[in-house]
Amino acid sequence: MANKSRKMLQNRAMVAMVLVCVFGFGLGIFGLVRAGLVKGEYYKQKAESQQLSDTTVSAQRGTIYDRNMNVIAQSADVWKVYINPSKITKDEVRQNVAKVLSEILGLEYDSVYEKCGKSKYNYVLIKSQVEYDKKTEITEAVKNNKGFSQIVGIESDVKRYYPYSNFASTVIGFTGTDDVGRSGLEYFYDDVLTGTPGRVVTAKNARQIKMSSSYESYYEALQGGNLVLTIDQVIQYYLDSALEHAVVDFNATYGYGIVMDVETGAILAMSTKLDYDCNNPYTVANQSVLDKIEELETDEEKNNALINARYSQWRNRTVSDGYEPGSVFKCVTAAAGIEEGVVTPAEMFNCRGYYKVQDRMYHCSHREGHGVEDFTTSLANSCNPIYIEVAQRLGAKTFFKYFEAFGFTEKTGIDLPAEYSPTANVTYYTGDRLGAVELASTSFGQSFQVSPIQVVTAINAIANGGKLVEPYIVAASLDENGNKTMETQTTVKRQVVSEDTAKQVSYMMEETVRRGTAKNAYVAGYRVAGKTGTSEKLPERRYYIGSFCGFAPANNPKITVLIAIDEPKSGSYYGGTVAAPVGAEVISQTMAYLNIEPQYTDSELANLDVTTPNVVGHASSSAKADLEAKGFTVRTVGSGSKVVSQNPASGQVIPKNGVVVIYTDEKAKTTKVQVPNLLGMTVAEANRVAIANGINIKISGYTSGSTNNSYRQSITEGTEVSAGSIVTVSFKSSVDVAD
Amino acid sequence: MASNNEAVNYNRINMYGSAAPKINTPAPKRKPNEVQRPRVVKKTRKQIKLEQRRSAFKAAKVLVICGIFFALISFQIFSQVKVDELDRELQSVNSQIEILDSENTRLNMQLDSIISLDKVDAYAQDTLGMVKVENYQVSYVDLSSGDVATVSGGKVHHSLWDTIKSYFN
Repeated sequence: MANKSRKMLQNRAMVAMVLVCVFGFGLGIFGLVRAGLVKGEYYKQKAESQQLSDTTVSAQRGTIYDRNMNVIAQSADVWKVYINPSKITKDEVRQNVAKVLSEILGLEYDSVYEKCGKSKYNYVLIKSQVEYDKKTEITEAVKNNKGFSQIVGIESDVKRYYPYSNFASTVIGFTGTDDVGRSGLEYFYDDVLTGTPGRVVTAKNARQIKMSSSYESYYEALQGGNLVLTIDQVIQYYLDSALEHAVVDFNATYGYGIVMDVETGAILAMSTKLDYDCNNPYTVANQSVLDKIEELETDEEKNNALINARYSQWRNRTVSDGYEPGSVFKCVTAAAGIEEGVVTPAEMFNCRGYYKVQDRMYHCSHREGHGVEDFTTSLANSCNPIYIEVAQRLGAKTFFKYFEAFGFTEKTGIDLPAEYSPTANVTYYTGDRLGAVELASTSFGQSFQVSPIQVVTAINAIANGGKLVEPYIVAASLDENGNKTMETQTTVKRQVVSEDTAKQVSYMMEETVRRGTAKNAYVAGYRVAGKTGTSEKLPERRYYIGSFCGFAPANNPKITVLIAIDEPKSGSYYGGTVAAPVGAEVISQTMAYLNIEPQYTDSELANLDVTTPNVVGHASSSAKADLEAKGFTVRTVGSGSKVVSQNPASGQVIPKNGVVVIYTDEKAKTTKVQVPNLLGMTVAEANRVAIANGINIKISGYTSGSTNNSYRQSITEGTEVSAGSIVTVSFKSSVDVAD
Repeated sequence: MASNNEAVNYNRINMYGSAAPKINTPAPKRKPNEVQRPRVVKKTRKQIKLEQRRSAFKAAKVLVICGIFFALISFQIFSQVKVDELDRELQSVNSQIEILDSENTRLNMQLDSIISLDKVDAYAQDTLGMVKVENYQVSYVDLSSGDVATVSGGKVHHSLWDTIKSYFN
């Protein structure tokens, strides 16, 4: 009995022991399993955050260079200034914080004061992208003002710098405050430009200070790739400034242009004016647009208008907008006709001023008709009826084959965002929908829409011996050590027409510049081939786009240029009047920049300006005699025996009978004259007025024949200048340029 | 020996509450403690000195070890402090480098914007009164046949073949 009870007792004790063990150890094991397997990651992170410092090493966004490695866009570390309004308890402190921050950061006091009042928040951003000098001032202010250390904070930020502000802004684009591309190349190549952030994991000591590098793991940040563009800073500047002047001169809404390398399709310059400053993309640059927004009544209307204005100024119209190319397209019709053998450049036609297709009457720009002319002259005259005739001979199917081959039914494939997308039977007629009427209007560039980049690519095919190349704007991408990670190769899409046909059309276009509607694109010393176009803007048909597309030198083309002036509102709107002079300006400057030697004809040589000789230090009488012997008009100022100075200085370019003022007395140096009005005159008239007023003119633009008129002078009327100063006067012809 | 074991067993039975009569066994008699006389070892002075020296040496040894131990710990602490200090300096220098990099970029961008083509163009024309070069003012040199320079008065070097030919001529 006793044994039994003893055993029972022993068993109970054993059970109790086992239970204690099972519960005790079981809980422990359960806890370990839970901590290790179930919540392992959670505890790991907690331990790491307690013992390790994990710092993200930001990867800097890649730099954008032009083709000559000039920096176009570059990122740098800057700072953000923020406040913790929940720590502001007294109005006195609030006022002081607002005062200090607004003064240092150049902000409005009221706005900062209002932010300081958000006492429910512990983080309110005051200003982002603060540069080092301002950051240092803020740090000093925090040190010097009691209590600021708990209120004002500084943290790191990134800023993208665009040193040339408006330079190709619609092409380059911009980044947001998060350093992500928002527009243009910044957006399109965002994945290349953005790097991969790295990490530094360091052990922390009890005081939360990072321990030595032996406890450190470094995961290197992969810096963003750099882009090398095909854009040339100098050519871009020529295009930008020419377009800027044109927009002002012709009171146009926009002006856009493209300069393309003939052989490769590389874009050397691309511009849309008016544009914006890449450093301040949200500021609407166009003052007239801002004035209109201010006139709106409600805040909502103003906000909507402001948003639309921003989107509008960011738009790269050379790539994203469609327009009717107008008579520029006649080059394509001519190429198709010659290639198919339905017409030759020498074939004679009779332009009666109209062409009837079914019940529709199409008129020539010259209503009375051009009469008998050859096919080459018909292009020079931009004669619509002849091109309708050629298109009818080709037939809709064959015509459409060339329309397609020249790339008008597809995107060009340029590496820029939001390229205009042609849509069959919406933006153009397909072959089976091209009736006689549609074919007629399409033949001279109406009833369909294309983008400027499509037009310049098509005309470039004519310059390039019939080869259609794919345009591109990024030449290469480089890693942080400068090694090439990608290089764009020229892509020849197809041979659109034969080399012989391309040469014949090229010749026709050259004649158009020499004696036709594109005469204002003439550049002395260079053979320029081109065609102008004027088209109504759809859908209102109230405004026009005047355009010019051409290439130079015609005998060995290097560049193809397209210029379009959108909604010119001062006088003529023809492409020959508004776009061709801009084309000439860009071609002339670019040819010189590319070191392409001019080849002057005898008549061009006879009209060239002359360079002033140096007569400083000569006896005044002999200097005067020498200058007069060279054909200059001489004015002597002062009573000295020697020439002290001269204006224009030696080496300046003035017309052959230009004024040279020689000063023989130091005191006489201050002789001033007023610049007269030199606008609306022929070259001879302007020169006469200039000499009568004691200044010289430098002639620019189209000056052949007697129908030219001055439309721009570099120094405005009434400005006081030194006698003998040079004023550049631009001329163009306004006769026979209607297309 | 056996009686002792039995006594233990009886005690155990009693301990576990047995009804059996308790047998009192006499506890074993203890032997009175024998008092041991301390042994007196006589040491010579020499031995005493030696022992004193030994104990002094032992004390010195302990002190030296403690000193070394203390020095090691101090060195360890000092080096740790130094490393921490250098870490802080390194972080500060790195931060300075970042700031200077940023400043360098900013100033370069500022410089680029100051010498942009439009500003240079405007300054050259408006302030300095310069005009752009005309195309016809540029002289082009034809180098299509190669860039050749003629050295006057120099020694004429003949090839080995020319020398052999001239020898036979």
